[in-house]
Amino acid sequence: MIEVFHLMEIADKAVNLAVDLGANYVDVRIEKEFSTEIRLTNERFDSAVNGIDKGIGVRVLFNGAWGFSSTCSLTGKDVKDAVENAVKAAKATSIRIKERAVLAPVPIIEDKVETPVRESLAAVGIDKKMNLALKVSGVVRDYSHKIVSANIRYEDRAGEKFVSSSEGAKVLMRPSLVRLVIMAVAREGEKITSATEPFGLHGGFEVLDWEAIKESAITAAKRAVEMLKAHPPPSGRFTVVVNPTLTGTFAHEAVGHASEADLVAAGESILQGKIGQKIGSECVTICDGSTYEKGWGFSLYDDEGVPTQKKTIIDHGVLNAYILNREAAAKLNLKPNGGARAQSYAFRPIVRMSDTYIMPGDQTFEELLEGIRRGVYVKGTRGGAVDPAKGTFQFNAEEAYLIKNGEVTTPLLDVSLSGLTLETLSNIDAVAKDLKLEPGRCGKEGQLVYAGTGGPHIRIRNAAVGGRA
Amino acid sequence: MDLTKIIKRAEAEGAQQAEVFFFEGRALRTIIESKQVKICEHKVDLGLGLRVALKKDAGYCLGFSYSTEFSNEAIEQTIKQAVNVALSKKADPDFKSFQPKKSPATVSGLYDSTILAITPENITKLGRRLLEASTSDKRIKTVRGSVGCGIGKIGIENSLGVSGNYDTTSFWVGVSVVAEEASSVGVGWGEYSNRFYNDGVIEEVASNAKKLSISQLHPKPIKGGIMDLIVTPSSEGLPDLLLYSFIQGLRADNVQKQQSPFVGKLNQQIGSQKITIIDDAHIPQALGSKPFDDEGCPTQKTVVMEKGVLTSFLHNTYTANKAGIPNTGNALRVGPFSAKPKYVLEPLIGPTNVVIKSGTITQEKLINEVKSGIITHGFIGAHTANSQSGDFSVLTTGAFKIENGEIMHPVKEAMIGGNILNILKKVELVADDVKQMPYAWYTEDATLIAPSILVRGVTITG
Repeated sequence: MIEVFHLMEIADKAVNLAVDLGANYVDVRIEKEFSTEIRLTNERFDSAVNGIDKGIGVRVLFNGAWGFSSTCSLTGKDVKDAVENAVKAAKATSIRIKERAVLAPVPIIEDKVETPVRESLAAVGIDKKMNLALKVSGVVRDYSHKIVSANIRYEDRAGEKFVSSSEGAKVLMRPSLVRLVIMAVAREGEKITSATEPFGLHGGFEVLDWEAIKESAITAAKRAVEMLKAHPPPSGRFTVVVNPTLTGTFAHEAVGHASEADLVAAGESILQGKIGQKIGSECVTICDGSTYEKGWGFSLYDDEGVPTQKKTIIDHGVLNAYILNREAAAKLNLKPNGGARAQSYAFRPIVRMSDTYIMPGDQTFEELLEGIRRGVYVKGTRGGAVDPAKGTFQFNAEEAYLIKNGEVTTPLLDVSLSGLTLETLSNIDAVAKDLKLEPGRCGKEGQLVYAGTGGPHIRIRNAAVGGRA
Repeated sequence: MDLTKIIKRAEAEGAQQAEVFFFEGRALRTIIESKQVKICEHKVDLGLGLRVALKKDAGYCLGFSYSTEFSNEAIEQTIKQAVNVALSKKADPDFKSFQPKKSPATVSGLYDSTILAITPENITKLGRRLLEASTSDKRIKTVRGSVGCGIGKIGIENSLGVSGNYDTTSFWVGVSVVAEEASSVGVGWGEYSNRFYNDGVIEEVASNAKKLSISQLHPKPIKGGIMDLIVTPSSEGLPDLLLYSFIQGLRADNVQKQQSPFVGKLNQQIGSQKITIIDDAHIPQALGSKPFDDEGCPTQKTVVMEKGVLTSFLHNTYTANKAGIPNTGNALRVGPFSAKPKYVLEPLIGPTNVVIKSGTITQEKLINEVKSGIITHGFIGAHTANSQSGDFSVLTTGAFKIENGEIMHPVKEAMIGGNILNILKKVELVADDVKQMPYAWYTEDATLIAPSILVRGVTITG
């Protein structure tokens, strides 16, 4: 515990110094984090590293202008330099400033929160984690001789994060989370296919339930092998049934990003000015925010020390909420909802999603297929991209099948789905009841944060499907 | 810091070979958001990464660890962790050795002392100039961008006598704008990056972004089909599309793992005769240039494709030893978006400056060659390309319809899907308008240097 008091002491000093130097507001994040990253291809470790990262990030508001500074050294002199640099930076930004940043008021929190952990990630030797990866790789490769490689990625992080501000916020967080990403690569002749299954939770090493992991490994292998039989897809407009993974990608990429209030406030989102308006069909409800048990992107407080909450972005087709940090909340005259996150101490907090998903409906998967004469069933994702200003999106499915007369039939190769976000929200006409959340990462402005995505199976009418040349 | 001492201590702990990589960096940047100079940021980072090779059975095991602290205890701990990792592995029969001692290559233009003197006041002033120049047209609705500079020092030493360091600087400007008129929206961008400071480039970057966004207003949909495609050298999407669909496949580690579309294709004609591609680490002032790679191997110029024939993969010491051929000096320590510092990462393989050799005709002449097709300045979704198969499916952005050799009108997003191997075969002409572009993934470690390229007969979905 002495270490924690030490972190708090450094933070106090930094906050006081910034105020003495003229800062109108300052927040400081000090982190000390243990992490492991293992990347395995078949039986060869491309990387196996554990280490401790620590450092301080200082954010200063001077005359409505922002400055930020970070360093990985926590010595007295280096922290002092960092604070001075942050104040200098804010003063430089304030020259000829037109619109001054204002922070919406929030309750001042003093709290300590800890992820419940039985088997500390830092105490488990890296050899044990490497062995787990090897075991998973073995399961994937044993599935079929057509599997040419298994790529396993193991990541964990656990540590202390202390957020302290000149308003008196003092929030100490002890996160602990772990993730496995299992990728199977199959090959037959010239054809190469791959499938990915992620597995990740908050907690210690104990959350890695072997039976569940084994099932994910087999699923990845099975899916990769199945796709070897795939044919080039038709292109054009189809009724499409989307699996939970790709539903999550849509919720995150197409809707979640557009609901980020910094983009909204800057006029860079199609959702600007649409709160209270009907933008999707009745069956669509999209939320950001989950729980420790389910949500990979979950945290009780955000990186401005504000309590997080579940945000219902779209409520039965009606735009209901944006994801907000304190500054955007003030600008849009809304109440902050804890949406500010930073990759680490070395980055400023910006508006981010946590766990974004479409809420389940009441239909079964089979009911979604019913009556589709010719359609496409798309599964999994190889990522996606959106233009939140124009409201366009494009996603590549990992796996797809032709739907004929209500039945899932021939596998299809490299199917991509594209369209206009608003049009698509209105074209969703059925939502199944099978909710699934998955762990992932999201990149924005050069910062990567852990984020969860998910949803149930959904059906979209008249969706643009494309394939390869 | 005494790197030699760290190596000696690692050897005393049982390492047959040890290697220390050292990185120190400072960066200053200003960010424009909501049509305003929003924030100025200053970052300091330094640390070291240690690799050890331990003899086991018939081969070696490698271990790695890193530290941002340099006290005796912290270094001792780092060595122990690296040794622990090595002990947890089976011997790798393909590992022969770390990089043997060789003279570094001579590369000019790595360091510009002007950058040392840049203050927060200077950089925010550049930010305001970029903002003003970008907003000088009333139709510009939003502006997002940044101006930044950095100083870095990289050092490396190992048990085989490799010992060197070099200093670098960097300077970059980027802006993206949205124009709006009568509820039509046009997106535009401009970008510049170099090892040297360039004051005059600010207004040029802004003007390119502005022009593109305005020319994109009032787009029309196009009818899909098989048509010609011109891709211009522009930072939005193209570098990453090539990185994911093509360059990752050239990495010898991916080839040796059978995870590349180029497995078994060395010395075969895989592209059109019009296309020659070189990985060149010696281009003055380019961000991918350096005297030695992240394992201490001297860098070089590697022709990867000569007139459509695949001539070489990109190697580090491990893959070169495994293949029994000379190392190309492409060891690279880099993470996604370069968001992780170099010292926390083990060296893998990456490009330096990938140069698509210039042709002799102008972009205008290239356009004149097209009867029916599109010219696009950018792509959305480049990172979804499949680097194992080379398949990709992307949306165009900043695209225009060409008819009978003339640009007609801006195009609403069109989808282009295909395989990079097919596209390379269909390259018909290469122009002379070469530009240097950074990758979004390898922000400060590599560049793509390419001209406009005409590809015949591409399937485009309207």
